[in-house]
Amino acid sequence: MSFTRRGFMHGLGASLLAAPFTRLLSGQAQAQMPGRARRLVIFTSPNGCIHNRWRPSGGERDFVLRPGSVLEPLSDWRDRLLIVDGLNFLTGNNHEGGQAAMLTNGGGAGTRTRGMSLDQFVAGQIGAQDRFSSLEFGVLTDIWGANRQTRISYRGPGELVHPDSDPRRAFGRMFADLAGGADAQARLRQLRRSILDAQRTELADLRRRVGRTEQIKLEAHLDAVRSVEQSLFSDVVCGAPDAPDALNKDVNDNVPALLSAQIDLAVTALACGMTHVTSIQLSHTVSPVVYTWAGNQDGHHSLSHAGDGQVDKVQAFVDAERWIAGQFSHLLDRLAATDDPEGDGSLLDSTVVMWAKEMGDPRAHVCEAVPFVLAGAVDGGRYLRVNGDSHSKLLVSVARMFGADIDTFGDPNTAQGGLAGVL
Amino acid sequence: MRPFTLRRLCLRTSLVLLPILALSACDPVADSMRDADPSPEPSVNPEPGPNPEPGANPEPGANPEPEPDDCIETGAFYIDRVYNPVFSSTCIACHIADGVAGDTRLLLRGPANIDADLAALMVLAGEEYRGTPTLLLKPSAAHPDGHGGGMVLSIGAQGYRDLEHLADRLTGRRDACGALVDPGVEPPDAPADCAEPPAGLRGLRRLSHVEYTNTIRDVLGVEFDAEGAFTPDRVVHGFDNSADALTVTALLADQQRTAAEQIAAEMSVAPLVDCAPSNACARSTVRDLGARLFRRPLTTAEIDRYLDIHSLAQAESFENGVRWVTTAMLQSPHFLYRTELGRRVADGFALTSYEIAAELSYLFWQTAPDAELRTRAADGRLLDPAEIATQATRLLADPRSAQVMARFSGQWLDIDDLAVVSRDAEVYPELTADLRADMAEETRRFITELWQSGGGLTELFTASQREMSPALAAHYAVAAPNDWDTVDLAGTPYGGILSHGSVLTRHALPANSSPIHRGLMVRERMLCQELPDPPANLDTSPPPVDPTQSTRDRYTQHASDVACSGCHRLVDPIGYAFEHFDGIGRYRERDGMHPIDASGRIVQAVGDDIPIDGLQALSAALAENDAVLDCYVTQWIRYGFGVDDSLPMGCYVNHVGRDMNALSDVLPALAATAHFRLRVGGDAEEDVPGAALVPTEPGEVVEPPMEPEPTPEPEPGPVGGAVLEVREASRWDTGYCADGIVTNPTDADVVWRVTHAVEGTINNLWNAQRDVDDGRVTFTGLDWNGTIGPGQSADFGWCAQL
Repeated sequence: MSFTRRGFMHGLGASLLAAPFTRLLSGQAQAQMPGRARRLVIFTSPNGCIHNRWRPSGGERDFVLRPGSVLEPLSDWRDRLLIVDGLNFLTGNNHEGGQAAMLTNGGGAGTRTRGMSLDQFVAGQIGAQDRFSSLEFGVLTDIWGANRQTRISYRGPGELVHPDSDPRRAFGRMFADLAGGADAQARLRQLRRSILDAQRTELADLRRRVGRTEQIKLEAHLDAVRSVEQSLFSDVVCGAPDAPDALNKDVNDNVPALLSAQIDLAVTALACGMTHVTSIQLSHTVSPVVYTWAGNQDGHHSLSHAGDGQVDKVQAFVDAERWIAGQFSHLLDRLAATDDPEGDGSLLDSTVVMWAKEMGDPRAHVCEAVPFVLAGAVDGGRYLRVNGDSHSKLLVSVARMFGADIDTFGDPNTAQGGLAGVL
Repeated sequence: MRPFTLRRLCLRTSLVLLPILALSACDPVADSMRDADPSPEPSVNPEPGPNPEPGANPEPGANPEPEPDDCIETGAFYIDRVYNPVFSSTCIACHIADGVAGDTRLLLRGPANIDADLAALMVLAGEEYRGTPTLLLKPSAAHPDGHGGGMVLSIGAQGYRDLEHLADRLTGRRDACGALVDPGVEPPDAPADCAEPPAGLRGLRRLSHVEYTNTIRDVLGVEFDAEGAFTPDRVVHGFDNSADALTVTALLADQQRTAAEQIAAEMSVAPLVDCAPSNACARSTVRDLGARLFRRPLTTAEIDRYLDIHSLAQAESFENGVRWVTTAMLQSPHFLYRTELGRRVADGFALTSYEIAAELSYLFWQTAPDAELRTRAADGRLLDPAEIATQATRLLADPRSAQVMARFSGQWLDIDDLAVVSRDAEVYPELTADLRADMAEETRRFITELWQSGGGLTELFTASQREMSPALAAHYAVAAPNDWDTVDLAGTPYGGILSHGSVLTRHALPANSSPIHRGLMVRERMLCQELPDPPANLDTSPPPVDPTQSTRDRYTQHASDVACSGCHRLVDPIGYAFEHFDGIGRYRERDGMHPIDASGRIVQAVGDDIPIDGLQALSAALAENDAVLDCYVTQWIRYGFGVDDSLPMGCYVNHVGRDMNALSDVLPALAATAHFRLRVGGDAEEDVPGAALVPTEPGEVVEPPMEPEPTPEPEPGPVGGAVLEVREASRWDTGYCADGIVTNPTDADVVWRVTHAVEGTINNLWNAQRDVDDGRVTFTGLDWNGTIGPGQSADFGWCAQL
């Protein structure tokens, strides 16, 4: 009976309960990071992949993005891609389990990564001083409410990080503090700060009156207040661009415009130094989005389950996936066209960009050979084939690119160490 | 694919369904995986033999509970108390890299890598079956999947107890030194045939988005769409108001801040201020506005806190000050959370009259208490259960309660997505946005009418009349009214809630009907039996559309394949009863070229299957099924109380459902439970804020906190220069009282102000006001003792909690 309650406590209480392991997370994790990776962008799209329509041909260095295949629209970026084929999720299966394991590899509060998803873990490494330790952008992620199926990002076990699915609202959050002249801004900041102080006082007072479960809730709220404070009182180094157009965030046919706006905002947030970690989540597992603009007539989830004999439906699924690959390519274009505010070169040169999915072949509902495509600040131009390794190795490798000194990500029993040939 | 993942999945399955049925969904998979389960005979005989089982025959006191003061760190505890005495001799033969259990989740490295061991053990400690961690179940051979090495620790032996202690550390039930963490109070328990449902736990309930919207409209007169502005909350059992899920994340906190600033800027200030701008007016405005937004009287400290914000912002204008006070209050936890905490009484906590007023108001209307409820809170009459019942009757009669019913129904039936659910426009060009809106409106009107006319489950499932638009009537091919009007559906295939276009359309596929979606909706929402995802590794691709087969025929594999039939026998035979209705709710005689077979059955947890043929038969069977009534009540308890598993549901369902005839009986029945008035809480928990300002019995009126007379604006004059002497007046375990004597040693008048590092938290203060800064408290006098003459003194005092 106490199953849910306890799970909840483990979730929110992760930061409190992990005392024996906190030493694992300090020290070198904060040290100077090696390599050129300064930022992380995670792009996700759902419902797995049909491998024979996705896989490149050829070997590690001489691979070819086959004409008509899902990845062909990324041809311009071929030499910057690190394509990883053959990773398995050992800690979650099927749609929902896969979505939950995709960036966490399971694991509880006491594991090395404390149940966090990759973006949140890296944000903990490099984002503590940022206006936003991370920013999450979603496209059609609200309609089914918030649950394991519709979320990718975790602060701890069961503790969801929600994406903002409305570009205009996200823009407001990013630039809200910039209105008015210097005097007005100073007054505004003073008022906002005293209001945050009042909240803290009241939350602390309420906290001592209530039982443990409610205390955990209020502690999470206090953390949230701290995040708001950080976002309000750190400087923004660039002027606000034009606000995105107002769009209904829940309408299927707005997906192209919404995704384009969210990519713009994510790139802007990085270019303005607001954050070093961001995710762009296109819908969610079991996504019912109909890619009408790619010629589809059926929902993406339905299409994903079409057997090889249903030639038209498989082709429709591939068409939708190719459109998504084109969007990922557009994201890389944008990053490459934007200067790195902290160094020479472009944002792309110093950013690890990862396109992740939650499943392998959707017809079997299994998280085997789940496809990953990395780009940017990685050793690119490679097609890595692995044979059933835990995807924890890739998560470890990416975390190491940001200086994390870890051997396991999530459930420690799935694998030790990083992915051979990556880091 | 490792076997353990499946096993975990099956564990969840059995947890969900064991009470209902002997489920076989997992068994075939588990069977097929058994070969891969690393459970061969162990190479070393672990049976108790010549070598006695480690830790058996515990000598009481031989290995005492470590004293928390000693702080044996977890790694050291593991090596000294678990690894060396037990693991190193008994488990390591198998649980090493080359051992027969080397590919299980437990790979022991011992002192060579303590962190890795602890991390692995953590996972097993956190995974529970019926409240016991796998880490304990396996070695004691009590795990449902058994243990390859048999029983190596007997329950209760020293080795077992030490492992349990370790598990508690790893799951946070003990701290890093091994001391028990206060687990809080256990939720109450009671059997289903209980005499009286026990009161539940104290709690905080953040306003749901719709409650926020309504509250802002009713208190501040501003239309604000919180559901559009705020990130959605976690959905639990289909509902968006589970108290556990209503938290404040960083994203939401920022959205709340933006909302607060926007609402305060838009609102009309004049109705909130009934005095000419002055300090006293600011105080009374803060007091009155706060009472509305916090749903209770504010303490003096709270009033002072918001007056400070008013002072900061009033340089621009008095009105600007009020706007920023509002901005601040709308972000306060006292606004955002409804407290159900109460004051400590002899046997627990009694919710205050103000909390009961809010419970009533948010349960029946999803908004802030109206004037009558506020009056009944202030005079304490809501502490009387009879008055709660009176108010429940009044609130129920108001149309706003029907809106709550409609909202509940939308989430219960899972039809809120109707406007955006994806449909193939080529197959269903008729399903326009207008028609979708008409469908939603049809259901809203039907539910509202049912609620207000005292209809029960029978009418819900079988009513043959409902209002619909001409377009909708045409869609259904029934006699069309001229405008929205009641249509008699007797003699048509339509009748009851399951035949609504909203329900039929929402639960279908983009280009087809869906026996599975519809059957699952009935099974999960109406019978409260939530089913697991299909087991992984099954090919669940839907059967291709094949014109030579009917929809029903295409799904017959579900019944023939044992891997599917465990769950699908609960779902599909219900869903087939809907087959006369296509993907947008139109009646059809044929599915393509095939005649329709709408026969099926309801597989029951207890008793024989109920055969059904067609939707009306299904609806009639559900209407008279006790399991449906119990489930309906369960859903309302979840929705109304915002609880999931913290109340003994069987006991509550029996009580709340006992006398239920009309659907609308459910809300007054909820309000009549002990949970509505009383709560249980731990010894360390304290009263709700402002508990000193609430009546403790019906009819008692508590004076509001002292209000200073409208004082002249403080004149610039000498400040400070006074000397403070503090004398402790009394002291007890958890608090003390002290007197402060302020003396003016100068030869001029002094407006005194003294600062003192006050021990504890002041909970009572007289003859002075205070300003707290980082533990140091600055006291200043009131209008009548704020100035002291040469050689004179002023007295004040306080009590504080330690």
